[in-house]
Amino acid sequence: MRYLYYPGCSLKGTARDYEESLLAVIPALGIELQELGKWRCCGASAARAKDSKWARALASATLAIAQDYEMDILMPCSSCYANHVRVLLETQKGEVPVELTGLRRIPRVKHLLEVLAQDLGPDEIRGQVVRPLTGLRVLPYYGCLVGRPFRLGGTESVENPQALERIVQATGAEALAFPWKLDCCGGPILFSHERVAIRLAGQVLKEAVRLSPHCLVVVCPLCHLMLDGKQRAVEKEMGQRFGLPVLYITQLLGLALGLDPRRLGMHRLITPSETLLARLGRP
Amino acid sequence: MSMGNEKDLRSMTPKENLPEELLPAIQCVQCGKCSSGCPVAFETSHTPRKLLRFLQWGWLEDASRSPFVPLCAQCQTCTVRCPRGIDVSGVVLALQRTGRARGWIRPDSFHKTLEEMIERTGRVSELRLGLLVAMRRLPVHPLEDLILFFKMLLRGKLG
Amino acid sequence: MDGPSSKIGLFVWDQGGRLGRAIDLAFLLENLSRAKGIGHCSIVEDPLAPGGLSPVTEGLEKGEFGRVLWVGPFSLEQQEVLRQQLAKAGLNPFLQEWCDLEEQGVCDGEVDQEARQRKALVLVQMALARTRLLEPLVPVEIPASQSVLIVGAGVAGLHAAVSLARLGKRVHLVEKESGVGGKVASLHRFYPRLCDPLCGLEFALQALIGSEMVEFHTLSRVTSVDGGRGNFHVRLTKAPRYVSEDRCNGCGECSRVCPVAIPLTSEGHRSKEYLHALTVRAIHPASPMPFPSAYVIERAYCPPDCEECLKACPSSAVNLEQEPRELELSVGAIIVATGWDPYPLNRVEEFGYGAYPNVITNLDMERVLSSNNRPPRTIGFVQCVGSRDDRHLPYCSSVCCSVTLKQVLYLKQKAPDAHCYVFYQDIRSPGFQEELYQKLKETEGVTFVRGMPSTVRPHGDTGRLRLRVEDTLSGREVNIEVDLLVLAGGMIPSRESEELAGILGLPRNSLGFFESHLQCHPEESQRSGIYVAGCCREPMNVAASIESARHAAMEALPFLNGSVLIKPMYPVVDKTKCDKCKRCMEECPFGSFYFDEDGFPTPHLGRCRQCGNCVGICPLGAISLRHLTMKQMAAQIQAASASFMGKEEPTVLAFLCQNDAYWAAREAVKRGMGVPPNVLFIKVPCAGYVNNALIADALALGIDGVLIAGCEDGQCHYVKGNQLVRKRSDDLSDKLRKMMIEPDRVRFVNLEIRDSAKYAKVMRLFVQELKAMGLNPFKI
Repeated sequence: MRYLYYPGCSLKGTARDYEESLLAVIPALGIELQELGKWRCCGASAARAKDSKWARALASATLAIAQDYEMDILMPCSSCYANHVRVLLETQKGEVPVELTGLRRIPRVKHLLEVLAQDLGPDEIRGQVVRPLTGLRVLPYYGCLVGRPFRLGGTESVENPQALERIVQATGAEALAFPWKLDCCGGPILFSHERVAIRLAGQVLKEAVRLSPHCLVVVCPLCHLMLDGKQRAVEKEMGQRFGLPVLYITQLLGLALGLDPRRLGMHRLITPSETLLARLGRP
Repeated sequence: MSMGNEKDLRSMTPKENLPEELLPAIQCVQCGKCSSGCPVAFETSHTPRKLLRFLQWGWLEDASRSPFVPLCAQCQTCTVRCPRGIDVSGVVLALQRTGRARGWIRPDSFHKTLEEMIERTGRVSELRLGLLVAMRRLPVHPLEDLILFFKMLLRGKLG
Repeated sequence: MDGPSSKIGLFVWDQGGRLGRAIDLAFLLENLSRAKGIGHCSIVEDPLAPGGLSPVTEGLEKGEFGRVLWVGPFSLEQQEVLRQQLAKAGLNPFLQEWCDLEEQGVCDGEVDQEARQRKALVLVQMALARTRLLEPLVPVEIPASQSVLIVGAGVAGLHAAVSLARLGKRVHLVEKESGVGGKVASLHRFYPRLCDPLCGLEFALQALIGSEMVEFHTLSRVTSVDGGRGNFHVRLTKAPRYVSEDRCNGCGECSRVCPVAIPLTSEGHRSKEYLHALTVRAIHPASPMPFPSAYVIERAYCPPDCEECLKACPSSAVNLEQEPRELELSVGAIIVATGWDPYPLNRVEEFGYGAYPNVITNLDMERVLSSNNRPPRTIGFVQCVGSRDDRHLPYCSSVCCSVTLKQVLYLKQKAPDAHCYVFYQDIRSPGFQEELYQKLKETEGVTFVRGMPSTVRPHGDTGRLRLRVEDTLSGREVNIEVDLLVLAGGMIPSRESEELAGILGLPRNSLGFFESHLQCHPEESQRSGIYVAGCCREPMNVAASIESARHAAMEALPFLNGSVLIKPMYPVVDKTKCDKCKRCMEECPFGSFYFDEDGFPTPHLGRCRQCGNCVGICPLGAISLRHLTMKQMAAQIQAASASFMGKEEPTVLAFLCQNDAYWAAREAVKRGMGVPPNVLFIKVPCAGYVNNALIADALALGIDGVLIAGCEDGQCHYVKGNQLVRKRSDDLSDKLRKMMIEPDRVRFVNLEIRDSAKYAKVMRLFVQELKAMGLNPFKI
């Protein structure tokens, strides 16, 4: 299966390990990625707060480059994904005239989770697993934007999606039921209202550790930054130790596929994952 | 009968006062589901429900200048729960846009820098952004953030 | 035919002398006396006074004429009196016609005398044209059943049965469950008096049990219905009970030995003590109410070869080999009372119904209250779950607020220390229920919160649930933990309602409830003889359901009299012209047509409402209403084409529907609202009656403009006749162009009954536009 790859700004910076692990696992999963040339930032939520035309132009630019290829676009970041799908739907419904977006053909945009859970499917993944993560208690965390307001793949539930659970289970690990899995991590307001953001991340982590997981798994670089990178600051704010490793779904997959943790960028995680790796019998 | 503020009573004509993108607010029945699901609803004196009520009265400037508006994390919870199908998150963004266009809201340095970066280079450098913010305002937990900075640097995450 | 019955007696009654002042009556009569077919022509003085009718009765006796045309402003009551009196003298009521010159504007002083005189003549000629073609008609009596079918033996069905059984009608009550009572029987109490439903339903049952007029068909469903009012042929399928209803006396020996226990609560809910896991044996009393007294077996749960109940029964009532049966019934009317189902609240995922054991619906709560278990300390009620919500049910189910108030009241009586929270958007407690609401607001341990939670979360490991809301009245955050959460969900039409709608051909509104004209005829469906009662019509409480049922019973009565009298104005299909295109069948708003043995469409007299839409729709003009035939219309139109206004003035022929448009027009003339004198009108039963051929005829004969006036959309008395006539306008325009006539000479207008000013204005504009267009080239 071939996809155009739109990484988004974070995957070239603070979420470098997300890209690393993604590129590491795709051969085994039979996926080929071609990075979109000259892609530009999706605008996050800042663009729409300034000027809706500008925000639409940013996303349209990506879609315009992509329309000449026969492939769907794969996006690992939930924010990028939501921004592009929004413009896509507006154009399809005719709310925005095609001249404004400059699109001849409307390509499809898919979040990585959608590709893994629907295009590929848990059965395919299970077939490739060589080191099943038996006994690992994993807490799936979706964050806000991957399943709402646009249903993932058009079919998943908005209140209780199960796509991530299915993939976690395919690796042999146990996917714990986590009622807070869609609660906001605070990412978008990190730089403007830091304390509030940290407390939001804190609530997620607080409820998470209550269920005694071995790790949390995420599908968005901003969520990862809040829950992994800022975990020390959160602990200070909440007055509670968490020490919870936070992995990208691609890293979890990579471990199950028997790949070397270094190849998956596990050494770049801020919250130490040695105990986790030891539990899995890995160096 | 006490009339209260003359300006207020005359303003219950949202269709004349509100820009088109804010008209969905008329549908609101004030059930409060947006507030109850909002992660930041009670951080300020205004909840999203309250903001929609302001719009129903046509108090556009009050709504736009509300302390809630910049705080919204765009998590979409209000939008998916609204029984009247109002895109509440969208309304909040529209309030930001209106505020900026009318000069009621001024973007802070973070946002200005972010926008500039996107326009000029087409990509965002998180390092630059983070440093800028840290210089303007001391982080809430400066020690932890300093450690984080170095860890990220050492782990090659500040490309 | 040239006998005496074909000659016409023309009588003018100048009530109030207005006609005589407006035109030269003597001159008019002189002209008319020479008209074709006139046997007698004179003015009468007060035919309603004693002896006033003698000129007419004498003329009839002498054989001077066999049919009568009355000219003058007769009211509907006066017309009826004359019909009855002359019927005694032997004149068939359908051989009389009335011509009101005043309502057509002949007395309008603004108009030139000559024109008025000519117009009066034309109008009478039109009436004469029809009178010549009248036929002596007799109402048709079709034999009808005195039995009624009631589908659904819930509270509505039972009360409808009581009303009709009392009046000596034979009642067939069909119920899909093994016992009667429906949803109400599964409630703990119903408001406002907090009655035990078994007690309330007993009242109805007592009137029915033992009555030889009532037959219960439990475990039965309707599979097909044919025929029309007075004569429905119904087929039922009865599922096997496996217990003989004649022999079982409900002793219960079988239940004691039955090895199978079937759980009644869903698996998700069984873990909580107050949601005590109830079970029932595979052989158990009828449910929801133990009537009929015979037990019933859930055969699917029986272990193979088990015969314990058979062996234990002292009355040999068990029959494990029982097969389903088919039954055929003949009934005069049908009452549908198939009730409601709760909206499945697992679809409102954010509240975790099905995910958390202590989240239940208001219906589940009735069962909790019925049990002897101690309720938990803190209970939350969330109103409007899945209701008034664009993502689920857009409407309000009316009763849920009252249900919650009732449950809170009952809870506080049962456990005074319990604390109840009610989260709401609005509390709808209308009428005298306000008292209950006020009482609860003052009760300690009851808190009303105007703010809707949008989700529910587990509170740590305690098993309790946490709700976070904005108390919108104060603007503050409120966090509440509850032991039990009750979701007040709404009502949807039951699945059986859906099935029955298909079998009976009953239309439903966009929300799935049976379509009815809510204000004027709430229990009447679009099929004659079929009535709809209770919650399958719209969500309502028990008291309203009973009223609705009684109303439906009243409406059904006329079809249960042993015979049904059909007025003789029904449509007739001319088989020599009909090409079986089936358009009449497809467009009839009441689905009245069926195929006869020769394959021709024929109206079922029991279903037909005699609106005439079939006449209008037939592209070959092959259908006529008796007493308003196409020939009669054509003759009237021919007479109308004679010019009376002078060379330069256009003539307008208007077809007015007799329900709203005619009254608006009449009022407009009466109040001198400026209706132009160029207008002649003909009354039709419905705007949909007007066949394109009639319009084309009118224009081909030189009439300058034709206007068809029907009711407003949504107000047509025959559902959509006003729309059907417009739908044909494209075909009409094509036809007219081929005849070299401007299609713009035809107009359609919708009028409400008081739209007189609108009518006058439309007519004035039309006449102006016709003048600008130029006169019809076909005009003589």
